[in-house]
Amino acid sequence: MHFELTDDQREIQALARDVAQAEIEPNAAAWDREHRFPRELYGKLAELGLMGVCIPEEYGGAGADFLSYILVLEELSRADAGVGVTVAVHTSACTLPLLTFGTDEQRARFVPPLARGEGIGAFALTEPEAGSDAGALRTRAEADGNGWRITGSKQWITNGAHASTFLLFARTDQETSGAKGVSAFVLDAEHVRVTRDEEKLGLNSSCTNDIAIEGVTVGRDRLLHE
Amino acid sequence: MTTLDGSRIGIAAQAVGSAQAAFDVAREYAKERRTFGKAIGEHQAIQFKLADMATEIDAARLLVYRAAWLKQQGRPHAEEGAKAKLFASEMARRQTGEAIQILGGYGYTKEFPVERYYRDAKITEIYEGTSEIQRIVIARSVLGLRRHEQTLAQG
Repeated sequence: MHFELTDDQREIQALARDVAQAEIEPNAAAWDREHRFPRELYGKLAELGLMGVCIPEEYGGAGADFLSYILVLEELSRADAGVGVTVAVHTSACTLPLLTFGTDEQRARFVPPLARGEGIGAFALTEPEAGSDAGALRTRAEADGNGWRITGSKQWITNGAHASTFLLFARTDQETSGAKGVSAFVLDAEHVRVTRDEEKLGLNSSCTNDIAIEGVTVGRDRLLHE
Repeated sequence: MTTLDGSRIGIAAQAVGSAQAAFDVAREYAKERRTFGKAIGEHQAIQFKLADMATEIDAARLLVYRAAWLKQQGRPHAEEGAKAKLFASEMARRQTGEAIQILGGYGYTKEFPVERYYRDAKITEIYEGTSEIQRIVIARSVLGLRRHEQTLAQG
């Protein structure tokens, strides 16, 4: 058993701690009070490689291991958990699934801008009547010529108003209920309309939105295979 | 859709971060604030709270690091990730609350950040799979039951 972090892990932990103490912690109370999403902060984190800690360098990331990324989340959250969740959703729920389940073409196209922090990622699964019971989701994706036509609405989408890329779940098989008929699609901000800003108990520096997808047609290359 | 086991480890790390922040404030406060002629950190009631906080934060952190390590080794980590998320989130809610208790009335005000940590911590018991969902994942694993097809929201 080894209970020591490696030098690389310690180094990235210290990097995250330093930026958290300098840029986040002094502002966290104000961001909370003003419900302000600190968009400019994510540019600074991107410059340090913290928007793609565990993404390989060939895909624009910092090329560190997953534990390094977890150490970064812990340090960011220690200063402001709203920043922590923004980076966590961006990385764990959007960039990593794209890297893991995307085709070579999808990875090359969608991962680097996220890993470099040029854009922010979101994960759009939850609906008003499909939360823990995600298999109940109603957003539809119907085959339409060479692509898919997607219609529905999602709620509580972290990063919704600031995301450039959405990993969005829709039912492709209308006959099958439950999770089996559901697939993931990669959408851009232009495919999505933000319809509401949620008021929350906490995490006020993160944004949480309702979004609508209003009969948007996307190419077949937007379907993520798992 | 077993894609999301990794993201609950991230939320567990977030919970540990909030709890650590609350502990840091509570410990400093306990050294400075004086009642009945001594620092409150010299009262055993406060010492025990800080001891429990430190122990539970450590325990949660070790669960989180183990789950992250298993994931990066490419090994199964659904049960370990669920345990980390369950324990870290409930710990964070509990111990950020204890930090407020140590600060007393000041902890309830915005003069100190612990009320924010408490408000921020609660959601970690809910999103990326509620504590109830995590218990289902753990129970199925320890009982050797087949994983239900519906795993989408388990994060």
